[in-house]
Amino acid sequence: MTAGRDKEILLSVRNLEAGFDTGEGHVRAVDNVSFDIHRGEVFSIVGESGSGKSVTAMTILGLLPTIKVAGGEILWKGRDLLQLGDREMRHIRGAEISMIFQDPLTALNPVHTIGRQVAEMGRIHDGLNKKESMERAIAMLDLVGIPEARKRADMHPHEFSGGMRQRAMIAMAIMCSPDLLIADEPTTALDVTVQAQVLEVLVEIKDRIDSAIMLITHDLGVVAGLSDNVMVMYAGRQAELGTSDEVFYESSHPYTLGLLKSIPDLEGPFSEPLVPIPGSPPSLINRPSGCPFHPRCPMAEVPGRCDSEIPELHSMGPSGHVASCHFAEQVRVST
Amino acid sequence: MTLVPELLEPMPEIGPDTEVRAVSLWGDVWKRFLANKLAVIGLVFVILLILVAIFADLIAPYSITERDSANFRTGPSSDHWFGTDIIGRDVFSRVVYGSRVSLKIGIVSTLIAMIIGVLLGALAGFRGGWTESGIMRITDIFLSVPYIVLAIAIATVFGRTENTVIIVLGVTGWLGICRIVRASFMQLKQVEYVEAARALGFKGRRIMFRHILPNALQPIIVYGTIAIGGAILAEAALSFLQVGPQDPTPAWGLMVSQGKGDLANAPHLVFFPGVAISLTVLSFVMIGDGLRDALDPKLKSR
Repeated sequence: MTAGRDKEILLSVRNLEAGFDTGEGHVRAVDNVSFDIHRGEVFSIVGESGSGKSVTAMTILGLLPTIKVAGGEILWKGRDLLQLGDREMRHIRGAEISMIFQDPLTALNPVHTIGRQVAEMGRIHDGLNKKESMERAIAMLDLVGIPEARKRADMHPHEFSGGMRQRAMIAMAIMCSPDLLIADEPTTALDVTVQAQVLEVLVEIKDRIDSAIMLITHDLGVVAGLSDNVMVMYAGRQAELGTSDEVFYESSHPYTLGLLKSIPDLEGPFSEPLVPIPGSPPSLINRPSGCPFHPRCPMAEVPGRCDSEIPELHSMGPSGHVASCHFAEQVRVST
Repeated sequence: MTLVPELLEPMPEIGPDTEVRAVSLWGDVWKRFLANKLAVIGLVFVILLILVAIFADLIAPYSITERDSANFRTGPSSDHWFGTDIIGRDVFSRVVYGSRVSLKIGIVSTLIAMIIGVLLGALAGFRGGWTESGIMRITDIFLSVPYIVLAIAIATVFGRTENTVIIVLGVTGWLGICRIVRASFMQLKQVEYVEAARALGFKGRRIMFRHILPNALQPIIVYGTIAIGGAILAEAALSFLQVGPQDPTPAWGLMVSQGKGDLANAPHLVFFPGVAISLTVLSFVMIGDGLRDALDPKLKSR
């Protein structure tokens, strides 16, 4: 499952710090986050609401003007995206880094036909004319598995089902063969039965156009089956980062363990109750001292290191598996 | 080329031979519009008026300056359906030709006002910040200037012609639409498909006009229709105050103004152009109301 590790590094985020200025003070939504995405891999970011996963994506694309980047670098094929101007960013967005939104119901413009919306990508990024771009759009709709694409291209979004709309969104995002697809909870708004289909399309497309996927989700089930590498975020910080096998089978952070225990297991005995993580995520304005997870952590040593010292990333092996817990080694052993 | 056909969710069967008919928004709107009787009456009247304006030469029995030396200020008769004015001109012919003046001024000035209002409103709502503050202060300044005073000033400088009226109404009429468009843009720039468009690398201008504007069109259409009526009324008011087009231009407001001294012995001089103004304005307002209800079915779901 370590596909891609040997391939070209597309995106390299280094010590990224970003946040918002609110009336109550500065909110550090992303705190010292570093990771690499290689061509061909599926990189998942997992975390609860407010853990900073979407802000990370938005910062990469430079989308939310209210995000203040306090430090770090976002290297895209060696160029720091944070230093680029608006015009240069516009050429990267959509053409090199594309995004698939959570809710295809609202992410497609209701007044234009599906075909026109997909085709528009080709016109603005690749300079195709109306006819060429429409032909390519139809090919893309076909590629993402929309039957009778030529006819459906003339339909409006409201005539499509949710899964079909998400396919159309994907067609739009891959129209210019981007190198990286950022998918922000691409299946959350869909029926469970359709989720698997859409994810499958996504991964097949990725292989076909030889790109990478950055999958943002809170659904560990989705992550486990698809990802090569996984980053678990908590309160804006990296809790754990490693290959999917490492994170799931050699979990080295109590938060990851907590997440895994709170998923129902179809094969396990029925009598075994689910174990929720007690408490709720911390306020990002008044962070807990020390490790942000310590108030909810079953293994926390309080008073002690956990509530006084912010844990560094501990290397758990030569492959790049890291966890930010003072007791990472003990946690791993306990799994 | 299809990737995972076996996984496809069931969708209504479409074979190569089935005809896919796009359900058009405007078809529905038209159907709902037709259900509104007042709006249809208004539309029929406006269409008739447009036909009258186009074929005025065929309909009017006399020209606008031709005098009947035997009849001054006579009431309606078989020769002169609407009577004659103080210098013996046929009122019916003048009212018929007057439709050209009113429609031209109403439509062209509203178009100018809409273009200014939509551009500035879109810019203010989309960009925000200083652009918005600047534009909104300009609207405040314009709001504080009475358009009649401005009209008198411009008419004094550039002379009293139809074009002067068009310009005056155009540059003073954009405030309302500017505010409406600004509000829609402020709201629509937050929606996800606009964010998606930005994430996919679209230019600001393209997002404004290709992605947001079509979604903000409904209030613009409604407001514009009603504004045509308003502009015709304003033109009548300016003509009545003698700052509109000059005699012999058959402007309805001017005809009312010229006839007002003879209200007691020749009421037809005020009555016919006055009725023309009222019916025209009323029709545009009824169409506008009908469009509003037709475009927003939630507003009036009976």
